[in-house]
Amino acid sequence: MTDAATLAVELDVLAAKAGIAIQHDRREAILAGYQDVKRLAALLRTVEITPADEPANIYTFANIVRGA
Amino acid sequence: MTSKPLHDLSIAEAGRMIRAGSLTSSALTEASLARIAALDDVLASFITVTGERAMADAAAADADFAQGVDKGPLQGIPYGLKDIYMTAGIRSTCHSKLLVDNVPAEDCVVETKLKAAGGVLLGKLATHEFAFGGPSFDLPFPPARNPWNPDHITGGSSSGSGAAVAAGFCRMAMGSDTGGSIRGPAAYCGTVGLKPTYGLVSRRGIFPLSFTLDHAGPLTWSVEDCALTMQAIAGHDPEDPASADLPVPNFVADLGKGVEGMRIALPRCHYKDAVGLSPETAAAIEQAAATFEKLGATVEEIALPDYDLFNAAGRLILFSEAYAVHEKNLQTRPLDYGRLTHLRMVLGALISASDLTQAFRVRRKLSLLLNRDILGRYDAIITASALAPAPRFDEMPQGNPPNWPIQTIPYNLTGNPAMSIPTGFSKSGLPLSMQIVGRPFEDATVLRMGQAFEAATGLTALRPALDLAKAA
Repeated sequence: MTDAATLAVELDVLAAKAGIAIQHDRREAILAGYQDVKRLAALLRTVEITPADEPANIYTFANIVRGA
Repeated sequence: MTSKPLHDLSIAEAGRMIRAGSLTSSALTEASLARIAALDDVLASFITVTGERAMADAAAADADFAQGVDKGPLQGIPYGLKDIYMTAGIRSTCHSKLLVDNVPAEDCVVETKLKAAGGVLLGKLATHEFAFGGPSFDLPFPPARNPWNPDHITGGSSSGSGAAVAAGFCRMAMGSDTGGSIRGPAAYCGTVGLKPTYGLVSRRGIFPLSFTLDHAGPLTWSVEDCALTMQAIAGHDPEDPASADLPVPNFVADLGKGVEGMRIALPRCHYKDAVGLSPETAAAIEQAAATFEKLGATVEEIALPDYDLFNAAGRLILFSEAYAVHEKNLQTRPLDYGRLTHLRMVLGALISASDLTQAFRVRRKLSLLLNRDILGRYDAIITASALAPAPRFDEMPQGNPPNWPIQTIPYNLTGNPAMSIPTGFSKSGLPLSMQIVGRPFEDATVLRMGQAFEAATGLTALRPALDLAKAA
């Protein structure tokens, strides 16, 4: 599948799982919004969360086992 | 005594006249209602005008004054509430078909406090639907229009609040701010708009949008009026889980003390290459920085993490929490929402829990960095608010992604106090703006700086040239 087709399938699956119907005339705009949400989420995944960011070690597996 | 027309009086000026016996709250309120009747058919800032209630409130205020009862600076002063503020016995619609007949049994906490302060409620103000959609024409009420040019939007979501204050209908209007919904309309309408520190003003009884990003705060014509309003509405509420159990600061005491010796950070990196930045907006911020330096402050350029990170974390949290509030209705009656609200709100259903958690992790990291590394060294930040003057209605995007041309969401994410304040005007005659951002719970410093800037620039003297022949 193309990226666009994959995105469309993802949207249908997630919408069905959430119990929301997507009207035909709104589908293109919601798909564009979903694409943007994925871009935002991917951007946030580029941020490394270090021990200095979470002295209590409550955020991530990696920080807790560091040095073990 | 002042020669100003009544609609140009500040809260402090009107209060002085009332206390001196040269004005009554009833006369001020009557003039406000007449001005709304004359001009709001174009601006559509009010959804509901509570004329009878207002005149009764004003008569009560006047009676209190006559008996020597003075409840403080807001006594007898007309104000408006964004229509997401629940008001007992008064329709509170959130500008939505879903709540068009909603008449709450109880007041929100802010309204309770304003009533106790002797304020005069003029009515309920237009908003973007549920404080989220856009300026839309498919809702039960028309969108508010910009008093500086009605072909232009007011910004949102506190659209009616911005329009009503700029038009001189109210001395003060309450808004809410989840990603910039106080500061955006303030920027586009040329008013002052303060998003207080998270936890300073109770949100109980205000319809939620995103409970970790929502803030309640005032839009006013002057910084002093903003401070006077904050004094009345701030305070701990044990039933708002975000409310801070701290003494209410004195927001007024430091006004007039200037900015000499203050250290101000200027993160040009956030806005200088942003899409949609107008050269006039950028130049006005530079001019503002120069003004602060002339007043004795030090302004230094600083680096901040990429604006897009703040925006991404804020947007994912906002979409997720808004969807959680509206989930049932989005599943069962989606077409009762306006098109833009629906298109954008359903996006929250598509975000994974893990991505949302990462947004919260990044939020924590950015908040620590901002407050420890930057505001540990500087008293405040000045930066862009809206990136350009208010666009025309026909320039607004009608789909996704909702790229709002304002840079306010970072401080919803971090919870810092942030105020939008006018910096001048574009060649087209529309207001320009900047933000002043302070340390948590140092809202008084933000107000002090804003008042010093306002006094140095004299911008409050300029009001929109509405059709005064029609006005009271």
